[in-house]
Amino acid sequence: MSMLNEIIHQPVRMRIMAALMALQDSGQIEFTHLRDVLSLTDGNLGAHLRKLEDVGYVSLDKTFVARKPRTFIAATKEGRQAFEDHVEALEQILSGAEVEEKNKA
Amino acid sequence: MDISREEAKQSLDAIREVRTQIRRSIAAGSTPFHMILWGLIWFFGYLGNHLLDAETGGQIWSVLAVGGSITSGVMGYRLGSRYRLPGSHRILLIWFFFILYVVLWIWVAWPLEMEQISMLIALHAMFAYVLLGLWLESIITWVGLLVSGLGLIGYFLLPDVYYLWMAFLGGGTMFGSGIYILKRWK
Repeated sequence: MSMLNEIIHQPVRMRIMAALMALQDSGQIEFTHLRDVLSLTDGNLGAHLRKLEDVGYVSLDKTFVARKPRTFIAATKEGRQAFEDHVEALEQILSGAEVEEKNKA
Repeated sequence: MDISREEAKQSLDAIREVRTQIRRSIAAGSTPFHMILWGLIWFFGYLGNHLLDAETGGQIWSVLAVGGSITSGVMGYRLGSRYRLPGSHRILLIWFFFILYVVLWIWVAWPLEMEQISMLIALHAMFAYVLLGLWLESIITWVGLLVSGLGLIGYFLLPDVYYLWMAFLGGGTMFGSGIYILKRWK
């Protein structure tokens, strides 16, 4: 049985990981675009990304595109696995509760 | 850590919503801007064919096509900087080979009337849209099919106003679809 991940379960971090998981394995998304998609502020997104980076769930690549600084974010292999486990745990809670309701009925 | 069934459901719904947003963002990318650009190009190009002589109309198309291709390339590069996705260069290659094969087919089928050339190019472009939509998002496929259908109606059933038909309905559909995708999937 999978366990819920407290780091990922925080609503903003969960949405960040969900966005990164929607990309293919080595796919990256640019910081400002992720901020806009998730309707966050620079500071809010930055703080949560630091937390995720500290536990090794995301990687940040700071580079230049057309001479402008850009930061690209991707989920790491560990982050992908942790997120998949977290989603599995959520689904187990949901299906376990559905089984309970069926039994009661 | 314990959470309720309701909280689990809300979390899964939030995850699904974000995934859909990202998927659409990737699919939309620069596509709506290309549709708007080429919708305008088709409008003015076909209007030129309708109002002017064949040679002048052809010259206008040449300028619009070259300018449009360069603009599309620059747009694709700048808007594509939102993501780094493995294999994203394939879209650029798809369009390169599409243009190459259109030139080759017209060369093999030469001589052709101007209306035939314009219909062939339009059909090939919409074929590319149909395929891209199957890969990315279905609305792009539907736009391809709709413009193809409208083009064929104009070509076979309305030859006297074919260019005017393509300007408003072909170009207009592309332009309108681009605006719709841009507003809906921002």
